[in-house]
Amino acid sequence: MKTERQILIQHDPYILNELYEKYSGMLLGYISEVVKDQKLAEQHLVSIYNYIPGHINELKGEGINTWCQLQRIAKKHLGLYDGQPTNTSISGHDLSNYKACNRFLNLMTEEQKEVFCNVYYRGKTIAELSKQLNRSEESIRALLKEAFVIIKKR
Amino acid sequence: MNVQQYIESGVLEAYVLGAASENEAEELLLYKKRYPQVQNALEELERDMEYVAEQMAVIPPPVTWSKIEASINELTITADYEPLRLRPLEERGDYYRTNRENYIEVAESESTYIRVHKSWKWVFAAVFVLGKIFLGCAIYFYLENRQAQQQILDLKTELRTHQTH
Repeated sequence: MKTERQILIQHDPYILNELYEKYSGMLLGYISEVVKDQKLAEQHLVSIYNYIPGHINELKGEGINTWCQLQRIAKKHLGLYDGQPTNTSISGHDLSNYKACNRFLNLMTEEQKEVFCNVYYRGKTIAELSKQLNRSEESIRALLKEAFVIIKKR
Repeated sequence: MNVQQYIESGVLEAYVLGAASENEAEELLLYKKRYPQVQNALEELERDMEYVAEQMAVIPPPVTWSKIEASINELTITADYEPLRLRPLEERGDYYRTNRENYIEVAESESTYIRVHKSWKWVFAAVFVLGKIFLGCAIYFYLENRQAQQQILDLKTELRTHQTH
């Protein structure tokens, strides 16, 4: 019996190659920032690309942004997006570790940075951050919105 | 509903980053279908996300693709073979169900078991019966031999007494 992954490889062997060509650098850059270990990030990248063929339908379809979906898969794989509250968070001095790699962060205020980094790199939800920072969910969403305005200005 | 106010609230950003609650996500998907402005704003945010990731991209070493490719080739080569799978009894197909009565469970342990075809039971029975016959014969001949040895000993003793007289 053939698995979905084997069927995909036999019928369209270039899909995975195309996904790799287009998104592997972006994915590795993201994973490296999350795990802060290049070797480990590469291992995660390999296992994510091994996981993709069996879940190719999650990346296809009308209205699905492939990169965003790939990033969701990566977050799940890294345990950042499993619906469980995350234990680690980024604050204060930790934020400086992200500045060098992400030039957008240099343009953000400390609060915007803290919200953006915790959501983007740690998979925190708005509700979790609201409790953690002792602020309303509306204000957390507003800070996230402001962070995106800075990214849009680029 | 004020669509512009909804877009400005930051819910879309939270959704794109996977930080929205389930209710917010469901609501957003509904609005996305209903209001083109929401859909456009969401698509724009997704492009922004892609742009952020592009700026942070790190080119993987060439060996990374080789590792993925090796895994793919392994699967492609073995694709025509039926993999061995352990499945619960109730999930097994008709083949097992129709042939199950032809098999005897011989031994079972936590991790391994063997099944033997029913035709072997006659062989096992024959081996068992022959074993018993051989055992009976062995005991019989042993006793016979012991009796004969005793008789020889008696005869020798008798012969010696006759010679002395």
